[in-house]
Amino acid sequence: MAAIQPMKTIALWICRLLLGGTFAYAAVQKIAEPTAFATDIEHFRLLPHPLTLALALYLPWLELFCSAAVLARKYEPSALLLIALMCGVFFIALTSAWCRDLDINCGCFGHSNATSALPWAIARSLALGLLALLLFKQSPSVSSQ
Amino acid sequence: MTAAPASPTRQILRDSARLLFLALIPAILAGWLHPKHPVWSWSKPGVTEVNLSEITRWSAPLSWIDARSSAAFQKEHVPGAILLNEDQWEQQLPHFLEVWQPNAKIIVYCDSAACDASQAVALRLQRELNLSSIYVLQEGWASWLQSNP
Amino acid sequence: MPLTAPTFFRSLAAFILTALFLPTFCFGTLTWTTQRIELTTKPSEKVATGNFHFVNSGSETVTITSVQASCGCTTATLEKHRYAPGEAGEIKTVFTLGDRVGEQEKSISVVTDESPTARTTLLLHVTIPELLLYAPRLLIWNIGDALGEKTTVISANSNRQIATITLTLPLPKEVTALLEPVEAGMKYKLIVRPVSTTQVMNVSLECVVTFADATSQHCKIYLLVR
Repeated sequence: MAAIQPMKTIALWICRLLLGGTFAYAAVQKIAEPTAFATDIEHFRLLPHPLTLALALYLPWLELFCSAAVLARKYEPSALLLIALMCGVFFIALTSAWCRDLDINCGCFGHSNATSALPWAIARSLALGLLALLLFKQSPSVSSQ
Repeated sequence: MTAAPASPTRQILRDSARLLFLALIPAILAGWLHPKHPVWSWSKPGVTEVNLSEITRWSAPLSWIDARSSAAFQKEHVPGAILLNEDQWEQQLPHFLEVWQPNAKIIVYCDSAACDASQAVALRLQRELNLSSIYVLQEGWASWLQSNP
Repeated sequence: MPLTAPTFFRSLAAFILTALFLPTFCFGTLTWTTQRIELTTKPSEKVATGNFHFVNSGSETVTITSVQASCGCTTATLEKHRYAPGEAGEIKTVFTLGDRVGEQEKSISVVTDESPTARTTLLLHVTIPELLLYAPRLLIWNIGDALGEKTTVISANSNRQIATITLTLPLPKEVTALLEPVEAGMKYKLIVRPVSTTQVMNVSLECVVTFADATSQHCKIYLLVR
C-alpha cells in the first residue's frame, strides 16, 4: 500500500508534463506566427474580425502562462480550470466547424503544422479538457475540500 | 488578529484573474512589437463574403464570375457566369467588360472555402478597374452544388 | 493514503486519456529542410519553381500518399513515393504565373501513410514584380453624360526608367486620346475623351512602354459608355 502513493504521484506528474508540455508547445508555435493563427481563427467564421485579432494575440500567451503554472505547480488549480475552459471552447469551435463542413486547418499547433483532421482535433481537445479536470480534482486545495 | 484565509474557491478565482491579467501584458506588447503582428482593422480585409441565401434576397441584377480553371468552368459553372481567372486575365477581361453593367452586383466564386482565387480576382477587379459592389461567394462552387444538386 | 477503487480508476482514466493524444507527439518522420520558399521572378519568366527537400529521419519506410497544391496553377511532383529510413527526396513545385502580379502564396499539402489524417503544408511565396503601374484601367461614362475627359496615370514601378511610351495605332474612332508627361521617364497621363455618349461604347486603348533596359510592357485601358 505504501508503494501506491509514489505510483500515484508519478502518474499525476506524467499527466502534468503531458498537459503542460502540449499546451506550452502549442502556445510557442502560435506566439511565433500570430497573423497565421488569426487567419486560422477567421476560417472558423465564429467571431467578428477585431475579436479574432485580439484572440490570436492573447490566447497563446494565456496557454503559455497556464502551462507554466501547471508545470511549476504555482496557481495550479486555477491554471487547470482555465485550461479545461479553453479546451471546452476549442471543442465547441471545432465541433461547430465539423458540423458546418468547413474545410479548415485546426490551427491548434500553428498554421503550417500537421493537424488538419477535425475529428481527431475534437477528440484531442476533449481528452485534454478531461485530463485538466482530472488533475484539477486531484489538486491538494481541491481534493481536501 | 490575522485575517481568515480565503476560501479555496475565492483563491482559485483570484489566481485565475491573476493568470488572465498576466497573459494580457505580453499579448498587448506582441500586438505592438511582434514583427509578424496582425494588422489591426475593424473589418476583415479583402472583399466581403456572402452566402447564397443572402444573394437570393437581392433585387439588383447579378454578374457571376467564375475564378476557377478553364477546365472546371467548361465542365460546369453557375448559369450565366463569366470565366475570369488570373491565369488568363488579360485575355478574359474584355469578355467580362462586354457584359458587365454598372448597376449589377458582381459575385466571384472558386472551388470552396479553401480556395483563395475568388478573393484574388475580386481584389484585382477592385484595384485595377475601381469597381464596387463586388462580393465573394462563401464556400464557392461547393455551396452552389449543395443548393443546386 | 490507501488506494481506493475511485483513486485507482481515476488514475487509469488519466492514462487512457493521455494515450488518446499521444499521437500528437508522433509527428511525421519526414524532416524538411524548409517548409517555406520565397522567390522573386524576373519579368521574362513564365514559371516559378521551388524544390522542397526532405529526409526520412525515422526508422520505418514512409510512403507519401498525397501531394496536393492549393491552386490548379501550381503542380507538385515527386520522383517516387516510398522513402526508406535515411533516404532523402524532394517535391518539385512549378507555379505557372499566368497574368498574375504582386505577392502570391501557394500551398502544397503533403500526406503520408504514417498519419493519414494529418498533412504537412509547404508554402511557395512568389513576388511577381509589377513593372508598370497604371490606374484606373477602366474609364466609364454614362449615356448622356457631357463629353468630359478622364485620365489614367501610367508610372514606372521601383527604379525603372521609361524610355518611350506610345499609343498603339490606329486609335478607336470613338475616342480621342493624348499622352502627356507628368515626370519624364517616370510618370505619364493618358487623357481620353469620348466622341459621343449617346450610345453604348466598349473600346480599348493600348500603349507600349519601353524601359531604359530595353524591356517593354503593354498596357491596356478599357473605355465604356453605359
